[in-house]
Amino acid sequence: MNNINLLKHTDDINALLARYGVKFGIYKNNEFKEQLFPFDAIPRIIEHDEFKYLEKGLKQRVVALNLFLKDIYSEKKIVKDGVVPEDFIFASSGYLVECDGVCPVKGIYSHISGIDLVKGKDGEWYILEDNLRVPSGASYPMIARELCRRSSPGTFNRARIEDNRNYARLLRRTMDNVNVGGHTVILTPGRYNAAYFEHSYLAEQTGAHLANGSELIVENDKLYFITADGKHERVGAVYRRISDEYLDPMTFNPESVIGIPHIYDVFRKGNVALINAPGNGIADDKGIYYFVPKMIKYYLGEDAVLNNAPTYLPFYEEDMKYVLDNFDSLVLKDVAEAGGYGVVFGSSMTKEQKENFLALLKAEPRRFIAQEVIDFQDLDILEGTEMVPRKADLRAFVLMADEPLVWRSGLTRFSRNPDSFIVNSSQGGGFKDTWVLSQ
Amino acid sequence: MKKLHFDYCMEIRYSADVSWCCYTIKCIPKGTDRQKISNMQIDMIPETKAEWATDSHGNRYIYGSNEIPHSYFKYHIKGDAECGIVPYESVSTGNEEMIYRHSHGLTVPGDKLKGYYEKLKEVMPSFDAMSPLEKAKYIMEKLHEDFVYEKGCTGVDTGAEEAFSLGKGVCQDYAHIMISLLILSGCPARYVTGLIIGEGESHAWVEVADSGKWYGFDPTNNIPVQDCHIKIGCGRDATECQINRGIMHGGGEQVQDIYVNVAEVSPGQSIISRGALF
Repeated sequence: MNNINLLKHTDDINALLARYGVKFGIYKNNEFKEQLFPFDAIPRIIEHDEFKYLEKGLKQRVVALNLFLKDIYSEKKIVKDGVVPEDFIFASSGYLVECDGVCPVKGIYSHISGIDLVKGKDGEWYILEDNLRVPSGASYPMIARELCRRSSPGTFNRARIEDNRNYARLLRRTMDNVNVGGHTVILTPGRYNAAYFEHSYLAEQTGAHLANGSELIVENDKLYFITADGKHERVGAVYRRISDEYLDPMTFNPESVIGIPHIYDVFRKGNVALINAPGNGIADDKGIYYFVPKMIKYYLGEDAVLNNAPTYLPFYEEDMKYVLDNFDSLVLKDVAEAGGYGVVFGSSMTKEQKENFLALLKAEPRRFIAQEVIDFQDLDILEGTEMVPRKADLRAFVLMADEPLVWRSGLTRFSRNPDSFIVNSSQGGGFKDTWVLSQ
Repeated sequence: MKKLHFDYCMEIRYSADVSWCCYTIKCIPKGTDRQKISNMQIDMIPETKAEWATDSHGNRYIYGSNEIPHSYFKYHIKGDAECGIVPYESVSTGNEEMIYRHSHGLTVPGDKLKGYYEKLKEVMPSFDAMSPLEKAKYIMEKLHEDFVYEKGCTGVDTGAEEAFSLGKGVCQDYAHIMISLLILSGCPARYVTGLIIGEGESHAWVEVADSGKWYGFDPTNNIPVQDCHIKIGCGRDATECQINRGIMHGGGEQVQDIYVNVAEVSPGQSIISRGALF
């Protein structure tokens, strides 16, 4: 495919992204810094048939994860039937007892799922992790595509690429599907949030109100938006970009000043939809990841289409033995951490670090998972005028309205450091557009 | 069985006007197979429209907000309770036990509690063969011997491990420690808030599940829960069944008073009877 003209515009596109405020905020050493999210104009291209396969696997996975969440917060059959041990549910910080017995509108828990995948050198795709709480990132390829089309319209004239600018329409449909009557609101913690650009962009693109906690109020068991002239107008759905913990100081963290008092009481009664539902953390826990293929089998009676990375649970004696025997070839992850934190490679530890880690592992085996290091394919990025290979992953977005829908694009993130396997944007990586071929 | 009349009243005086407040009040005893509640009345000053709800532990509560400036807030709940109809409360959904089989928040044990638990097991060779009820009774008695009741040395967010290390505390601490030990021994256990005859404040105790039924144990008084305890609510620890919670804007300095009274409607025999369960 002829991308040469597009590549010439890399700097223009990055300048435009900066101008539109496509930034990523991070806190480092207690200081808030906004940094640009560097864009690389060489797209990741996924063939039509290959994406069809991914779609099938992603839909299956997200359907099963939704069924799992519904089950865990109601009948808990999967635990009673011994498929997932109790310890991985009720001793996990992701399980919120406040959600037990509460059914979200239409039984949908994860309306927007961000599933991270990598393609191995063996040509196979592997699931790295599921993000079912408030996964961010869709706005970056959306706006990048828009700017690429503007900079280099010729590139897109003849190319058979799925148009990814439909994300806003899909998202709107997903939100409307559960709206119980009234406005749709995107709830943001405000401009100091890492993903504030995304909140405002998605609001603009979907036509939803962008609001912060102080603009929403609970009265008479319902949620209202306070308009500029002081009127209270009913809200039927909230795409909240605030974590569960800060959502409602009357139910969760009492210190929260960015939440809405009593919004959870309104949700409990089914008088507002929360997107995604609270409590989803129990399904995207790194410990639960191990069980996703088993839950696909359990709920759907199917084998998982997409592979997990080979994963071991030191919780099981047999797996612990494997982990100890093969320590240097494994990557170890703390189940409680996210964003690339709490990830260590057995091979890169000093003797002392290793001893300390093993002591911790033996004391708290449930806290860790171990995975084979997947040698994933590099993607070329442009550094100056030179093409250099870098590690990259793909965050695919699956939206759940009445049916699951996979967005035919995704956020491809790459590591800028040639030696790093960690591609998280909070650790300084960049991104690419993801082109899915339409035939 | 006893027929009790209960009053629970909480008032706050503010030095300046509160311009807005919201509240959740969970001080509402619920009728179960163990206790029957009647003639219940809830009064609030200032009067506001409150909504009824039930949380995940089955606790009933009211919640609401008020944007009329006020410098005084009060709620008063009163009613009658027939307690000890049966000595247990039935598990209602069949899921409940699972949730309460894992320590959480303030009941998570540390090394000291784990050590104490091992010691308890050592001196009681038949421990592992005991039923949850027997374990609860044994743990309660031991804890009552080894822990000292003393006000003012622990706070509302003191955990079981910390209180146990201090060696002293109040009913909340007794309950947290006992739950922690019961869960270590594999028994589902939960924290209960309630009222008891002869106390001028709310009380806390423990419920343990045995064969589909929850039995109450009051480690502070070293007695099984019978007919002088009115249960208000339960949770995995104290924070999950806080009697009230609120947020206000303004208000300045505040002084809070709580008045609690539980009296027998038709005086019977002994107020606290021991050991009828065993």
